[in-house]
Amino acid sequence: MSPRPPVLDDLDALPWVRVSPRLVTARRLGLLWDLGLLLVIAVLALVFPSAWWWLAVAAVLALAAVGWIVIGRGVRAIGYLERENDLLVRRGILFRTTVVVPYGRMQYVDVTAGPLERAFGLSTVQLHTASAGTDASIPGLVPEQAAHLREALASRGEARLAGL
Amino acid sequence: MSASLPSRAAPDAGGAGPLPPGWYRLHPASPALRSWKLLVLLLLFYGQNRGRALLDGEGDAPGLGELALAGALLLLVVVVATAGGIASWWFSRYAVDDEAVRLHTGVLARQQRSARLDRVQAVDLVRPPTARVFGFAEVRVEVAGGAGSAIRLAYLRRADAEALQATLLDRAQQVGGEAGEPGVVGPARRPTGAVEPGGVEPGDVERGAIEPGPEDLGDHAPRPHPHPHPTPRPPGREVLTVPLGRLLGSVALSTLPPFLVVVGVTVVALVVTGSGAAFFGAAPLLLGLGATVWRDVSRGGAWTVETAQAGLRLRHGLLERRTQSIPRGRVQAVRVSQPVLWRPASWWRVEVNVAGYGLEDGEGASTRVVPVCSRAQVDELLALVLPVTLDDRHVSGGLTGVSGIGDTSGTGDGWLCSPRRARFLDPFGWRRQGLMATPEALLVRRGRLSRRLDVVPHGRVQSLAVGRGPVERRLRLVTLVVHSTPGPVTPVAPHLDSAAGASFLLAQADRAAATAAAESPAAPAPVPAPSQEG
Repeated sequence: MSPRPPVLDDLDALPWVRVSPRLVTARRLGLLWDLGLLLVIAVLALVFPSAWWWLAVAAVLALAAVGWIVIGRGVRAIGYLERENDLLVRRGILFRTTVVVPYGRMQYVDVTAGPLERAFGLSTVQLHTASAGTDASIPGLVPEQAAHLREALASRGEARLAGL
Repeated sequence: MSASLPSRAAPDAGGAGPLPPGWYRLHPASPALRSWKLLVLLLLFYGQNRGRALLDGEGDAPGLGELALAGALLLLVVVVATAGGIASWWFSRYAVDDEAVRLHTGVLARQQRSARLDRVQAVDLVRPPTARVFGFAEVRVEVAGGAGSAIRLAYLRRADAEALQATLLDRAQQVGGEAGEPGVVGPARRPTGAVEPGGVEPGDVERGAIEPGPEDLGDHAPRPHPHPHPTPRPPGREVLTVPLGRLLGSVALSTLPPFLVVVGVTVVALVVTGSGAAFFGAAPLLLGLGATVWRDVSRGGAWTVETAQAGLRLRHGLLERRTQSIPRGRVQAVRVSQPVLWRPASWWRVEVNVAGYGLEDGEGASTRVVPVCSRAQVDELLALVLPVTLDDRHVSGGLTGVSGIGDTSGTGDGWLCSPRRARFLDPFGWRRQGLMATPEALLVRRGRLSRRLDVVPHGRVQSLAVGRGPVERRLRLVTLVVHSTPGPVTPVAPHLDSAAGASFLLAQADRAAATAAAESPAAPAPVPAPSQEG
């Protein structure tokens, strides 16, 4: 145990396991899909030239650019760490959160994959405790990571099972 | 008891008041009792419509003929609703066997709900005004499935309801008695051995799935509830009663002022503008605030707390009388709070998170242990409600303490408080907000004017989170959030020094693991203490 207490930024020094960078591509595709309607407006702007349409195009492009960058940095900020008695999950750039979930508190584990994630062969592992506020979900896991986590969490949860 | 029904269990198992196996019917008067709310609603609706017309000067006072017509229509609607209720009553049946309480309802859409006895959190009695007048009561069996998952048997004769409540509590104790351990809650599957009902997992109420009922119960026509066999219950020790004067005073100083402010503004608007529009514009707000005031008074009237087997028993309600038990092993977190106007009188309110109770809503079980009490009663209640003991100094520091200067190492009588630079974000509260970890529990305090203290035993912390936004990042601060089951208690410790907050997080994770290991079913079982309440 180091004599100096760790600073939150020093938590960065912990051996966080990153998630797959393919998640970036998946999310960026999702961003483009979400902005699809606005892109239609942009196309209309090309057809009917007017100042307001160009403003809309500019707004769409700005949103897309911001989203593009945020997604790239956001996925790099996602990490998890399996410790002996608990699981740490970290996410967020602007609003950074680190969640600690003791294994014995896990009620169940969800492994899900939306259509975009599936297309890239990724999945999300989500831990649930008895509290609705526990937001410990790890997206963008490759199949080996997801399977390993699922097995590890299930067995450790069983071993350290504590009642409610 | 019909001879063709094989007896499923020895009727005198464990000395509980025997309820012969089989299906039973609720009292025939139930449909009529249930429609009282509809009647009141219709009366209000009619009154509001006519009242508005009167105020706007469009109509005259209702004549006798109109009143008679309105009365007849109301009666017709009530009769139709009651007819639906009668059909629903005919198709409802309930049964209690060794393992579970079952309730089958539904005319068109059938629903079969069963609650396992070893998952029962509490068995409450609810007596709404009309039921109370005629001597009926509803039995509500609470499990940990959240709001709306309770099994409600409405209505039975009051004596029957009390006997059934006693039977269910005794049976739940016995069944749990083969599986649980005092003060330690483990999953009921694993034998550990004791007094309280066993562990809780969400999803223990089977709902909607059409399952074949137990064969022995058969498909005979359900019978009326049997004559009650009185089970002598050990009398609980009364802990406290809330005098009516104190309750009214507390409401007058907490939820009444906003209501009065809105009334005042409305009156001023009425006078200034001279038209009735202001009243109708403010009506929703007035109704909402007024309903809150009314609910606090009517729910909080005649509030009594007494000890019961493994927990507390609450009795409260002016019009609708409720009896409710809070099992000690199920309490997840406690909040002791004090609105600013209560400070001169030194009144406090105690609320709890209980697994499965959810947020306090109109129909659900109350999460309030007491709406208002004195400082000394707070100590007594904490000792009764928490599965751990707390040092008085820590409780006092949590309730009223304010640290001088919080520095990064976290001093101030052992409290980790916000550092000085947090004053930019919270100029008034930064000196007080903070947290402390005792060997048994986590204490979080907040609020300089309206004060509160949250207590979460280490073994009941579900998860923890440390987070910060961009502003906090500039100031090197973090916010620590403790996750507990759904309920009024949400411990948050904002604006802590980031280094101290991170180390506290990791240390708390270790404490939680150590406590979980000590409490787990695999741990050597301590010798169960004899039950104090008898």
